[in-house]
Amino acid sequence: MSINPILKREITVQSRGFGLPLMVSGINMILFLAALVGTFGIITRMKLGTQSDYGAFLLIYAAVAFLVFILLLFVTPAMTAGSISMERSMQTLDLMLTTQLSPFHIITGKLCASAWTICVLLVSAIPAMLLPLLYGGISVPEVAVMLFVFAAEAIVLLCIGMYASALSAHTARATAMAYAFVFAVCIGLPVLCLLISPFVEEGNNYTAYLLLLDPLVCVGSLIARQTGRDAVLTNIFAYLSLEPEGAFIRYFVPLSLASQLTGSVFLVMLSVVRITPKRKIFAERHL
Amino acid sequence: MLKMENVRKFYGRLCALDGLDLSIDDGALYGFVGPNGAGKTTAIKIMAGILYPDEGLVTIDGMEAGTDNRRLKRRIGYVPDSFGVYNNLKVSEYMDFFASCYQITGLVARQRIEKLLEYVELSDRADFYVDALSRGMKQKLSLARALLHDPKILIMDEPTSGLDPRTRFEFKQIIGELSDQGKTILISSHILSDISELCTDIGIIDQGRIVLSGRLREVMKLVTEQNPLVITVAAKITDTIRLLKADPQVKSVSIKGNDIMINYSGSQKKEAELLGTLVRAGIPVRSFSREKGSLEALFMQLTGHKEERTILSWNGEGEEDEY
Repeated sequence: MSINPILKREITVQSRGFGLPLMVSGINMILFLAALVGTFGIITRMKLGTQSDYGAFLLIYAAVAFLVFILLLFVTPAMTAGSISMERSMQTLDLMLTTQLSPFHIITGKLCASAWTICVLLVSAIPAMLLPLLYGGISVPEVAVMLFVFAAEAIVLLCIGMYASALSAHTARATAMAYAFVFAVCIGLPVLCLLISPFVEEGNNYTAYLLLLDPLVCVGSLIARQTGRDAVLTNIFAYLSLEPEGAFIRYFVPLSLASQLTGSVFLVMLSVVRITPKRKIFAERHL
Repeated sequence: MLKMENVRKFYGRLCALDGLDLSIDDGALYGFVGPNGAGKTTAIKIMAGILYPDEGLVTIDGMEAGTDNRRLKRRIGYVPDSFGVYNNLKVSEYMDFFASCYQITGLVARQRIEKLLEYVELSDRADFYVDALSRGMKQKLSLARALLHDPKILIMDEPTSGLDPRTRFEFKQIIGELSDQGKTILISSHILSDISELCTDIGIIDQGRIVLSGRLREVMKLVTEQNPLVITVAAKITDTIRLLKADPQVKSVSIKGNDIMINYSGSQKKEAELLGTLVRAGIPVRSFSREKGSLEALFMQLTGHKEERTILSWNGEGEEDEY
């Protein structure tokens, strides 16, 4: 099996620059700083008080996990937002389109290259996320599930950036579009559901199902469940005037991931269509 | 054979190509000339398969563009007007990347890359970053890249623009050699001297249409035939003019120094007869020939600009030597 030429090229270029090591160092510094400050704070409180609250260490896990996700939200869309637009501005996209590479190969090559970087970032974040293991309360499989969800969410965010990049010829515009899209999905959807809830019958706000597409709700509900706050998601839906079945709440994370990944596949296909040279369907309007 | 029939392409409401008809025979070295915004790059991108026409048909060796893209892409090498290079790659890595894009890998790729870099005289720069190359070298690299899959047709958009005279000469030599190897080559250029030196065929495009197309030699012959006859005499200029005016084929006469320029509509045989008449009348004729046609003049004429001439009129205020 031959490796995608774009993936190979991007890894070659990445391995040579200081960008990735700097990013990994920066992100890990932030994570360890947060984890160490949290641990120091809890231990100091234990020393000064009469009780030992080992459950508080779970908060460090929750904080580090949430911080990893927030960093992903900021870093990931920008990674792919420049991928196609930059090739366009350098006119190398045209060159690739004249080769045997299909538009699908170009998009997936770019996507895999960015996914590789995210993998490196996530793997480097494992030690910081494993810190709470020292005190208990969280297990290795749970950390593994969290990493898997982060990887899936990173793919979703990469696909959003990719689509923005395919839409625009300017990297700055594509990056702005990608962040706007991420903001709309993460914040806009809950706000929309909230705005609609007063206008629908009690318990019938079906727009709340749109939260399945929200990465923030997905990761938030997983963190809540892993730290023993199972009722958070039920409360959110109740607040939005929807009372879903217990199975829906129980399988919210896999359902949400499946929905988001389906949407991502759709975005990838749209990106492929966008960069494929094609005939105008309504060309006759010029006649 | 590359053929474009009644191709139209719009960018919004702007008509870039307006019923373009073009035909390039196998093995031809076709010069594609036109003013800025005439539609050259759009036509070239359509030929290369990067753009699709809104109307019309593009066929390459009988295959319609867009129907079997991968087979067509194997036949075409494309050199864009910009370099299209990745500055953060080394020359050999750049070539290796595009070789993989054409599914050429391993030893075959290495050998081909070495051969091509040697061909464009860049083998000593294989480990240099593309960023460190000069403009001419980048253009040569772009050409080497376009030849990686040994295409039958090479399409080049302004390949020699902005190059220094030496690199331009070397580039032209390479193009000439590639043409001798039997490749069909299309070059768009603003440098008309390059086109007239290199090409076997020419097409002039203006406002999205081909306004002239054909074998360069025949086009130049046609242009020359439409040019005035220039007769230089050592003396007896007044007698010469009287004799010329008596010839029904002479449409107009003008003088510039000792040169008499006439618009002559007769055949080559009639031209010979006129020369005989002058000689028999004792006119000391020093030279008798058609003014050479220039591609620049033809280009200006066809693309709507009038060639400025400094020839003084015989009947008007022009200077006339008295004998």
